[in-house]
Amino acid sequence: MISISNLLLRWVSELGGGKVTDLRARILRTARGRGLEIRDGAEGRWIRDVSALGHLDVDWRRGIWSIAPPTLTRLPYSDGLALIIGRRTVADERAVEAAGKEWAIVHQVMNEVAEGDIPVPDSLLVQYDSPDELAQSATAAGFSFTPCAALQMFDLLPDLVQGDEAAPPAPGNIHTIQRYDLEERSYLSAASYNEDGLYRWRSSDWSRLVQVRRGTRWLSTEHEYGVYLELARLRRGVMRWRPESGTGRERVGTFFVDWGAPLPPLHARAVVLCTGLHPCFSDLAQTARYDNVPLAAAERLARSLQQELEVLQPKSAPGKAK
Amino acid sequence: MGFGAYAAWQHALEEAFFSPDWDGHPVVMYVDDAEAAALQKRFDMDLPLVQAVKQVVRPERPKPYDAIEQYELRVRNSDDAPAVLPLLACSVIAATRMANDGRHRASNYHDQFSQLLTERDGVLASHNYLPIAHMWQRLASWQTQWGAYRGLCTIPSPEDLPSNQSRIGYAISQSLLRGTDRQLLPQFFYAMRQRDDAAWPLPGGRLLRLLMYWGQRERFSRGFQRAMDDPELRPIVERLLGNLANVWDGSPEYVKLGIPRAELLVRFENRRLGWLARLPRKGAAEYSLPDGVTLRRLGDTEYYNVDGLKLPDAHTLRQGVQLRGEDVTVSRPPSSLVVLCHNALLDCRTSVDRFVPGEEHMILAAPEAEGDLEAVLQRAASTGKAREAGKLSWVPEGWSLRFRVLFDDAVTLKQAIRDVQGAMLATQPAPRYKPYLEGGLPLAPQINKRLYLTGGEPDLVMPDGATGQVLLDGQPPDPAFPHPGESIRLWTRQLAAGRHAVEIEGTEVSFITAEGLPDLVAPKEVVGFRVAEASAEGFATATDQSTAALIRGAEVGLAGVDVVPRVVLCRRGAEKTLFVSCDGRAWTVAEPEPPAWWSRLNDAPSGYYFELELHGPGGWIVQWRKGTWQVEPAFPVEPNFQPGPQHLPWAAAVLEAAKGGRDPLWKACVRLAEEVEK
Repeated sequence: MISISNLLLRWVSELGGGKVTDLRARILRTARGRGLEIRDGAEGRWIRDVSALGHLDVDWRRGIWSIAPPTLTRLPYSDGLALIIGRRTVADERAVEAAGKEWAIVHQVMNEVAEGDIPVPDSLLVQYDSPDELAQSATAAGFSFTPCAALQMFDLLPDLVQGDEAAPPAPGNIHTIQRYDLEERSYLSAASYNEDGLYRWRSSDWSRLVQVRRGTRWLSTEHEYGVYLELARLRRGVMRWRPESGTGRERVGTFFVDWGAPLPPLHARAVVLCTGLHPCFSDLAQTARYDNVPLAAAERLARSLQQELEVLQPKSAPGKAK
Repeated sequence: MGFGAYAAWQHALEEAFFSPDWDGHPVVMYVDDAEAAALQKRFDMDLPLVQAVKQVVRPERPKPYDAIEQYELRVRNSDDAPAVLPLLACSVIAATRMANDGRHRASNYHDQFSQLLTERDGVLASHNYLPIAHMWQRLASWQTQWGAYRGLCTIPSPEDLPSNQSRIGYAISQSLLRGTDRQLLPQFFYAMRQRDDAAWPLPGGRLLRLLMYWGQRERFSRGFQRAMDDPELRPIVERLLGNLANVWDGSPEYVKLGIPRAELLVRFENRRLGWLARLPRKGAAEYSLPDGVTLRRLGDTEYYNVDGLKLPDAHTLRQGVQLRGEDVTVSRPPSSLVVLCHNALLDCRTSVDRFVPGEEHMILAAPEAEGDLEAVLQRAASTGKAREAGKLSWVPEGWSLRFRVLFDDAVTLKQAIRDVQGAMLATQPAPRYKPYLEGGLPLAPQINKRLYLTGGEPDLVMPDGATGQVLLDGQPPDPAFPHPGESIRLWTRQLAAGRHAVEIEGTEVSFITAEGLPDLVAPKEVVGFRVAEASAEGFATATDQSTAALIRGAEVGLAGVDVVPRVVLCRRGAEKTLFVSCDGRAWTVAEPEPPAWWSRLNDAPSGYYFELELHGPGGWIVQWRKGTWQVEPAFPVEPNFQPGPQHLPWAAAVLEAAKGGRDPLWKACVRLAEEVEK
């Protein structure tokens, strides 16, 4: 029987797009109907994670999503591995099966998710022999081809900038104001909003407004950008990178981001597409871990979010070096 | 057979009893001879109601109401009430005529009904009345689907009816209360709650006993007073009173039809309780209420922010709130319980009237309701039985709090609530009049609401009172379906793609499953990350312009492609690997270890190749393997440089492996290498 994770991907692939609220409700109900014990907000995290995996794209502000075209792309520094992501209808699955018989070895990898989360779809990795024939093979199978989506995205990452000046909270919505607490990693009720910080509240039409306060100015932002603006203001680093210890693999490594500092969607997708796998979450270290990230790419990502990347020694060597 | 007059009466009855004017008000479809005559005059009808119905009933046939059912099917439209109202109105008239008249016993319904439509006893009898009972269930199901918008349903649930009135009980329930009786009931309820507000709402049985002693009892209609005294009718009167008490807004005054009535909801967000109001449909942008209270509409929704009203506390929750403006009434019934669910539209928790099986609830309970709640949860809840320890500042003083309370079995929940009664009564799950499907993964609701993805079959919800006699695709389900109160997870049955039908006591529910649709439709709005010049946006946005440069999933196109190095794959395991460039250089290539992250893959890739990145011009991979040289192209071009002594190492490497390749470009390298050596 098909797993719930792959079933949901098949379903969103058939729908093609729609409203995020409808998607959330169906996912939640389906997950509960399967007897999954899920934490609050699991359905929203599923959408976010599946978006980071590159299967669908979400306009969070307008609450609209659409499925991504089925695409084959190379993984960086992966010795002949590519990834198939995006739409995965039954017809697309058959095309993958056919590729497995004709020109590739397909590895279907089950992703692990944190306890209380809804499983995300399996990743489809493809082992190939001829890089220069990859584009043609992808097109013949009905897939788009992107030479290396991860490296291309790293190159296109936008730099973090402060948003446009916006109106401060109004008397009618002061009671809904909350301030982001970096230690608690959540928004908490704010008795006052006089200090610099990241705030959110309900506007008069109930939409959620997220703004940073800088002196007397209020600046519009998105939650993820707001967190990194705060981290930059407080000069706090949340990103680390450790090279692989294997000979000849020093240029790629594991990229760590502390919990509570979620990557913006394109940044998240760029690091996820280095392996095509869902990141690992460590309860002990309280970090998200992304494998196979080139050092140059990690530095580019950190720089774009006004972070300084901390480079760790390979695992076999004790201590840290900068 | 003409349906002209019948259709006109259908329209009139829908307008009279189920128009949006009833929104938020309990509806009793009371029709007696006088009411029918008044309606005929009000809607300027040519034929009396009974005559219009007589034209389409065929008493001589085994299925006298078949033509009406066919007509109902033909004109079915979810916006309009099922086209059964004229026949059902006649069934109510018959119930109002039930009396000991010397010829019939007071409990004899069918002869009254037969007399009404055929002018003879015994022609329309109990054995062919079942379709009318099903019509009542369809009407109730349609009405409840609209929430409060088409009036609050007072048609009893099948399990609420005494067994000897399981068919005629629907018509009788609507024949008991005239409009004047309904206007009087809020005063009675108010008086009873004043007497003991901790126990409100009272069960119907207790209300009826108290009604016997109420000082204004004589003001009720003679029909209602007679029903109160009739042992045959008392069970239905009790249920009706109980249902009306549950939806009573707490005010002693009867709210006239036509004034929009907003529900006052408790909202939980940001670790505090607040108010929200919900109108049955989007209304004006703002409403003013007494004492400086203002309702402000939230965006394009039917929800309103409530400004100027003291935040919810133990007192206001127990006493209820009633605010009467000129053009809107806002009320919340008194209760010692607050049940909240996640509100997807507003992304916060808001209070609900009733428990919803399968949904997670947050429950606040006053001390007087705690014992009953505890008993119900112990018996019926799947999760969330334990109350939260510790004191939270936002919880009303002395009240308890429970999170994530889930009920799987609606029948057990209802039974548990009925056993404890008290404040829990109002929270009973909504009655289920007929089987229906819910949830599932619909494939294309625009073309068929009952088309689901194979593996994403919906859940089947059984009607109240179902015995569990079910056929799935014509066969008894194996294994048998669970208890009728639980939603039946059809996905567990691993049904093949195609049409499936569930038959429950004569009613069929069908749906179709498919692995997908033959063709996919592009979404109206495509979401992606816009790309402009050398940078993309960090957040995706929706666009209807298919020409915009977008990153969708991993489809990036050629944006940023300049940073992607060319790669070639080299076979692992060679004794020596060289890269021989077409610009006259050569170097040894060290074989790297396989990627460490492959340990995360359940079946590791073969490790047959390693990857070589090319930043300069192309060339050749030259490998010494098992005593021979092998030469593989790596984007080679015609070697084109002026030979010099600096190219000697290159020439040596080429000449050593000269016989390893036959490609003309390799041969050109060999010729140039020979020139270098000279």
